Amino acid sequence: MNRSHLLNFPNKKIFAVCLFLLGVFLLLRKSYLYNISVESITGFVFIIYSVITFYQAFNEGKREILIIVTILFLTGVELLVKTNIDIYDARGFVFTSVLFISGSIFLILFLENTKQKIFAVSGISLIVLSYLSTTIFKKLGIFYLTNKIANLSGFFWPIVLIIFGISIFINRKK
Amino acid sequence: MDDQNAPNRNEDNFFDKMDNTKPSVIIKKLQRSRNNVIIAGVCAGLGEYLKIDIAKVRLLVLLSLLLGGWSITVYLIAAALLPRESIGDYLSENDVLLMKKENYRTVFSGLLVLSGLYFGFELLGIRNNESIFILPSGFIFPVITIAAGVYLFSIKEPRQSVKTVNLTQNYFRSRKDRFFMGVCGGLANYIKTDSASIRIIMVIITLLTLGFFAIIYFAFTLLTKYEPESSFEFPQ
Repeated sequence: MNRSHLLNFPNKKIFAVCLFLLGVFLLLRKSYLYNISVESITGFVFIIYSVITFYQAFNEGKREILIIVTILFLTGVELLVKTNIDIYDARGFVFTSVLFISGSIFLILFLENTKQKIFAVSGISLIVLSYLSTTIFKKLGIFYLTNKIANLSGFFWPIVLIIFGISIFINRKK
Repeated sequence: MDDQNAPNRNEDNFFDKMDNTKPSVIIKKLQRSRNNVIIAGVCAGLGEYLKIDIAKVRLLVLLSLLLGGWSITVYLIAAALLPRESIGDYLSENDVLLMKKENYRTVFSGLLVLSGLYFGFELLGIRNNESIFILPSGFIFPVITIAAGVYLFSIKEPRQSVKTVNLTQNYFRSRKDRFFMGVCGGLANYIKTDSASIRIIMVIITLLTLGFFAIIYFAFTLLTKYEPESSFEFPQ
């Protein structure tokens, strides 16, 4: 049976090995033989897979894969940082990392096609903003506002997800 | 000579008989689909059998995961027991592409609704994450992960020829696929992905960053051009 069409993403074998190792580590953790947090394991898996896939995606100019791999890599780093370092204000961390990750994506897109200066401008602006969010914005009390919005969205975001889901489902044949 | 023609006469008789026979009734069988497959083609097979929209069957199966994950077991049993459709319908490359796009949207929307309901129930205090089926969730998730790993490893990837990639393609705002200024449509076209997903991600990131991301949207609007007129097609 030809099942190659089922899941279309690169480096299936490496992803398969990563999944297998993730499962084994989670089982070991469950049996208290090896104590490592789920976040750390997931972080390592994300980093390993993304670093290997990045090279291939960059060579072949697969932009959608490049974006996904950049997000995976930085999420992996974030997970590792979060588990190893105590962060005082976790919501501010989300604000900063969203800016940083989006900035990195635009920078990667610029490196892939250096003719597109708009990606460089957007990437650098977002990374500068992410840096400022940890320094000046914090002093300006912007995190207070972030926390307020986070509290509100924490209550309403399931409704937003459902609405988005239904709208895509209705318009799926477009 | 007569002897040589004898079999032909028999064949003629056979076809004469065929003409007189009534058209046979096509027995509908529940079987896995050959063309419309995401995992094993069970949902598509069920949809075709019951003459229901396949997307609705898929959505229902995804949402049934909220009932404790029993649908996974039922799906796997069905995938193992149901025969596969022997001859699939002929689909052109364009049809396959459209079908894949629709399937992707169905799964994406189903996952969004599923996570919305899951977190909604969690907020309301209605959730049971202690166990899936009879087994504790701390055990079942690693087992599913290992099984998925082994399954993926067993898939034989066909040796693909290196495709020529159009690296010179530039970014343009989309004329055809736009809500506001065509930034998301252009981005979706540039990275060859679905524009609806890009829009949703853009809205979520803008909310999460207190509107800072909107600056980037306007930077794209100001610093980039619309796609050339020649590639613009009038809607029919």
